[in-house]
Amino acid sequence: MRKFAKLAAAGGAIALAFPLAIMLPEQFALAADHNDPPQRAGTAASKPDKAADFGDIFAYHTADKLVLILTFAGPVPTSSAATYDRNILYKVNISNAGAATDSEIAIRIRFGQDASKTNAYGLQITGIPDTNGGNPLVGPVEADNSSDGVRFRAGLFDDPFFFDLQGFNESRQSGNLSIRSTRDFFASANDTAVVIEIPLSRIQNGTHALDVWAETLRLGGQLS
Amino acid sequence: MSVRPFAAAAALSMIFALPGCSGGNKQVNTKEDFSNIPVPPPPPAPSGVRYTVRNCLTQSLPPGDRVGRITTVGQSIFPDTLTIDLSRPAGFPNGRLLTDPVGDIMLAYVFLDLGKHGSRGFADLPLNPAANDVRFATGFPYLAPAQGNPPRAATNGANFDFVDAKDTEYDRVDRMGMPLVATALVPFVRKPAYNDADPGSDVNGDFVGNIEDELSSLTNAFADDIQGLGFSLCASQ
Repeated sequence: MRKFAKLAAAGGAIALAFPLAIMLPEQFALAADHNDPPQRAGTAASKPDKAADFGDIFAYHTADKLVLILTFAGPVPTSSAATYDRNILYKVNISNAGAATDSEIAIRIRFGQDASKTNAYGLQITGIPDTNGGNPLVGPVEADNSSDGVRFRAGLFDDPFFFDLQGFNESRQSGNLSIRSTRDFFASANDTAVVIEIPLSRIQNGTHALDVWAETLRLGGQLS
Repeated sequence: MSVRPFAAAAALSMIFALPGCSGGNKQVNTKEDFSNIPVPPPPPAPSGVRYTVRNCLTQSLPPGDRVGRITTVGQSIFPDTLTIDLSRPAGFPNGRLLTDPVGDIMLAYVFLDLGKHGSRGFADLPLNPAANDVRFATGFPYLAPAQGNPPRAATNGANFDFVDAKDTEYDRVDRMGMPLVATALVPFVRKPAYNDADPGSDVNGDFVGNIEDELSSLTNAFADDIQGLGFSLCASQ
């Protein structure tokens, strides 16, 4: 009886969990943010925007650097390629003054292709203060790039998130907590990611705290 | 005016105005907390046990987890941003390192009485895996290399065809700040609206009622299991 009650009580959660329960192996599901936007149109037939789907954002400081890491388009099996969609704008917002919700610094990241080469992609970064004379930072993906004190790289990486998503979803559906510390849903899977390391002096505003959030935007509107 | 946005605003006022509450509702000043205003009810639970999760959002964070303006769980969720105090060591919730067990910490934030168990109650078990399956790189680019032998892009390109367009020509698809908030706490049907909104909407209280609903459902489902592990809930019956 108790279990039945919990099942019914979890009804709202089941609505979310059901699509995840029938996912195919390559259709990994929600995590820190993974697979958050796929059903934007509200129907199962709507097209998932994999390239615009965040996995995670990491942001931390060292003595003299701010490190920003975005993961997206994952997790994917270890046989799958990275995703470099030129119609997606990846934007990292940083507030270093006033309200936490006002973005004083907007770092924009885009991908492009060199059509004269086979399978050659690059990334472009703009918006880092006092960097490269205001000109974009550009470099090939899958390579460490450095310009005017900023290091940056995009490419395919191991999915860094560790969480028993399967257990979490099963818990939501059954009402019985069945998360296991021995089961990492994101093990043996990869993400596309961008890593940017910025001199802290270009971001820091005295003793004011930083607030960081990221967004993905698709050129010409969302997929439908 | 519908009840929901009004109640949401009231809820947010409470979350922001009461950083000192710790695991209990008794310290709430009912003259200032708008508790006389209807709050969106949680989904119906057929059992006799139903939990109110307001305490979970108003409870104080342990001193070590207070970053910048953030002193309560609710303030760490609204707005949905990662906050970094540069004068203190890095590590969630002061920013987010690759190695931080954010899943267990966030679950502790929304389920546990932090005054009794702190924010590492689940992480100390641990509930979820305590670390990544492979080691992170010690230097740039910090992430671990891709696993397997996936196809790779060439690195000999130079003339890339980047889009040159204004932000107004794009539509937002996804947004993220704090881990697990958008996916675990925002109800499925509200995700498009949540992603379309921005942190300013979080502060305005647009999603407080939704997150309370979802958290109530989860608490109603997991309460006895969490208590069975020896923990006290932040939610009240």
